[in-house]
Amino acid sequence: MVKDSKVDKILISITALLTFFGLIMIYSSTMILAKEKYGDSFFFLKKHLVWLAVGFILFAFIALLRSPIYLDHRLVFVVVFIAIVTLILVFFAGKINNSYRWIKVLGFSVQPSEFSKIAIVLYLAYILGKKLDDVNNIGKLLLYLIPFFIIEILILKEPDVGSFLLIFIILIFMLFAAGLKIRFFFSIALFMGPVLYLIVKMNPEKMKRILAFLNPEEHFATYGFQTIQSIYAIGSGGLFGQGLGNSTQKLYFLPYAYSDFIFSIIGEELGLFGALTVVVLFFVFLLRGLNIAKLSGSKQTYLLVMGLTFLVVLQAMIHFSVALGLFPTKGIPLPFISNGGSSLLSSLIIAGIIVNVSRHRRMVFVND
Amino acid sequence: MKITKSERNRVFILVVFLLIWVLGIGVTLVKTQVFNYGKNIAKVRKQRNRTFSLHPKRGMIYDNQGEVLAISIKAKSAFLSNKNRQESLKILDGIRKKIRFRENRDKNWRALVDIKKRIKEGKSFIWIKRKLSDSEYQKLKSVEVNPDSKSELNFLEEYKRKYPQGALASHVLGGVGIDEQGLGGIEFELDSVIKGKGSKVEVLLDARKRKFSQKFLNRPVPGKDIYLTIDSAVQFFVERELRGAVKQYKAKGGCVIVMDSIDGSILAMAGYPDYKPDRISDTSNWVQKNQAVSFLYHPGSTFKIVLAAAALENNVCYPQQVFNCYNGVFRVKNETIYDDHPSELLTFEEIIIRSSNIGAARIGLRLGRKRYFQGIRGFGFGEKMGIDLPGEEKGILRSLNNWSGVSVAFLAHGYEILVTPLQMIRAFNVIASGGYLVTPRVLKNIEGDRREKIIKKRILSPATVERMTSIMTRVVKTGTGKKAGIEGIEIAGKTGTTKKMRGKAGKERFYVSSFGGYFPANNPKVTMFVVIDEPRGAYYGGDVAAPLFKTIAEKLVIYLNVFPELDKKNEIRI
Repeated sequence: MVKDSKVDKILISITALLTFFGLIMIYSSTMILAKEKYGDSFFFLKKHLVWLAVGFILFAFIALLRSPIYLDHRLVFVVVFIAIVTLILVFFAGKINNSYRWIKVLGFSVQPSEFSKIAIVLYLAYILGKKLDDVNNIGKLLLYLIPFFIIEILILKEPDVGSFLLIFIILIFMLFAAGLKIRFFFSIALFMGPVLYLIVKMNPEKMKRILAFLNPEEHFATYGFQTIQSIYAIGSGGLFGQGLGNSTQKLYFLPYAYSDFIFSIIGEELGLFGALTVVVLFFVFLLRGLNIAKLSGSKQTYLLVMGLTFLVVLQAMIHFSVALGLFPTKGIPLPFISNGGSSLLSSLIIAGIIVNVSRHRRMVFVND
Repeated sequence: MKITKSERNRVFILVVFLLIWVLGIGVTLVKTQVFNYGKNIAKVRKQRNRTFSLHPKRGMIYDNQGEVLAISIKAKSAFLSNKNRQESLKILDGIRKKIRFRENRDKNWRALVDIKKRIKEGKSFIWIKRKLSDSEYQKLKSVEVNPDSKSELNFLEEYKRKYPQGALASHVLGGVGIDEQGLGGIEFELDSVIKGKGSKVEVLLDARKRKFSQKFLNRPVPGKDIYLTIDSAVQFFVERELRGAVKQYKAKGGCVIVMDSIDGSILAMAGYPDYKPDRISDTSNWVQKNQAVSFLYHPGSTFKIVLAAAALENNVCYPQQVFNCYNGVFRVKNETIYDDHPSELLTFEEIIIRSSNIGAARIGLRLGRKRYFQGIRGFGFGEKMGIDLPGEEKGILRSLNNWSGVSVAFLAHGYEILVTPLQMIRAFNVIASGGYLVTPRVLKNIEGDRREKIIKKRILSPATVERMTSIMTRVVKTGTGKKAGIEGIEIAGKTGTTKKMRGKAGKERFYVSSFGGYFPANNPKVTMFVVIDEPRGAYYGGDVAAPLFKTIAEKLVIYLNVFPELDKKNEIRI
């Protein structure tokens, strides 16, 4: 019998706190836009609440699973297959904002790349933690990584360079944690250098974004605009912020203030204390996640929980860094907080899996 | 499968990596939000906040009957949002065909050149024309602007000062400039009261430069309404008659003041040439000048009333006292004084009635310089009276120790002193009011302040006043002021004709003709002073100023219901 005392209450609390905080920030950053565009200041919040309801059911369902089916290789293969299929389907669904990122499911727009990230972590945890006896057997490793590359190429094709890089970093992290020898990382770096160069080269818009990142003031009116407005937003928050709802940067100065730049609005409205609290919460999430991973018992669950934790925390870190102008502008939502169904659902699924692992750890230990 | 120690170390390395990253984010947050806070908030404010000054609504100006003399109404002002030079020039072409920027052709052209220059300089906000008339606004609204054009023709609402009575009381009202600032007259003198205090509005703009919210930085104080003592009707016919007289005598200018004898309220203050107050900016300074308070001249014979009053008040003369007037030529020290109409012997009264300069000189010499100087000072000459109008002159009265041996003789008939028409009417009114020096006023009161400030001081005894009135009535009945007389009403007055020291000596002579008086003589209601500057042809005060006095007085008698107390024998039987 599963003892619930093993459930990581801190992790659940952080998840709940961030999600609830997200509701407040989404309302705060969209009320004016929603009122003007849809005549209802709650428009975005209402949509988000629907997603949250779905997300909560998924979270509870996964967290309460009696057996860890996510470790089952058949399920993992199915998930990876679905990921690849949906990532192909986006090309038939039409462009939004110059990229193929969305498909319609039951009338809702869904971003398959958000879910394929989970699929990849599930898959990597399976091959690195269970299937392969020796990760340093490069031939075999590359062979098993073929589904990974297919997904990466499809995401790059959308194009969604942000997710592409994020998934790649997760791979590196998981290979590193799984014990891949250091020299292979140098080879990866040597290989990835030219690849990244080509990506930038083939995509002049990315080039401009990077140039704008290096000198945002000069590109004020174009690509530097978002970065500068984001820094203005955070900077004008000061220590205690302008107060909830009082952001003025959301008045169209900062595009996507409710998703890609929601941290900027947090910084503006709640100041240094609010922003630091969010950063610290994600760091605690990281520590709790890694603790669960460590105690989970098997290498597969260890790599799975670690990979998922990094998936959440790295997204958050990139989101913060973009908002602060430390990274070039990249559309990465803040997990749990940003508006957007796919991001919220995938974040809650991740939390569900981690919580479920934390519930099963004793059982796994017994089996060990 | 167990997790090895080396694997745990690797996770530790990843955690340290993330910790450094988190610290980096923390440091950047502190830098952005604490150290660069001022810089960032300034940038945000710069792109989001705009402060506008709103002109307050100027107070209205009313006459003493509640007639509106000045009012501020809303008017549109057109400006160009210059985003693209080519487009702006195109819009300007459209505007040119619809309206004129200025009335005057030269100025219109210069305004156009100026606007073009601003467009080329890349100024983003360019006034096209401010305070448009309704028809101009309609015409400008029909200027076609390409919908894709970034440059736009826009309108702002401002207040525009209107003077519904046209040029009426122009010198009293003055006028305002394009920013509603008082430029002359009461508009200038009481600008701070009429103007009120504008409010500053801070507007929050969103990124599309649309207004999101606004905040008043200070509370606006509306301008106060002003009530003048001027009576539009009196002012109107005074101006009309003055204009007629100036034209009739081809004079350089003229000035008439009508005053309530009791409380010093000025019912009319007219100067010619005059102007339209809403055109004050296009009016020359000379025309803008309010001659009633700023025209300096030698009062001449009208000043003899001061002399006579001082002499009687000091008991140095009596009305029937006889003086030798030396047949028109009188030498004092090394100067000579002439009479135009020579006489041998004249009584004190006759000297005033016939306006003998020699007689006056002799009275002056008898009165003595000290007493005369005090008398003149007592009548308020040589000082400003503090009327609520700009440009008031105090005149020139030399101090006693600067008087020469003959000064008293010349001052006796109104030379060696410069006065303003307003000072003269106050002097005449001393006798009209029964011996009081009453300060003339054009300001009745200000909105919210109902007290009327009447300043009066007794300077002549009733006995002197009675004697003076008796003399001055005879000036009109039998003396030099006959042409001012009206049948059925007793008028007291005094003529004045002054030679002007101007131009090439001898060739052409210039005069100032004046007449001061009040009526009804036995119970004065109205005091009036008339000055005509440089009349041609006739020039005696009795011939030029007195008839104008009469024409106006006739109207006033009816309009102000100034009827004499009827004697029994004059009673009209029905």
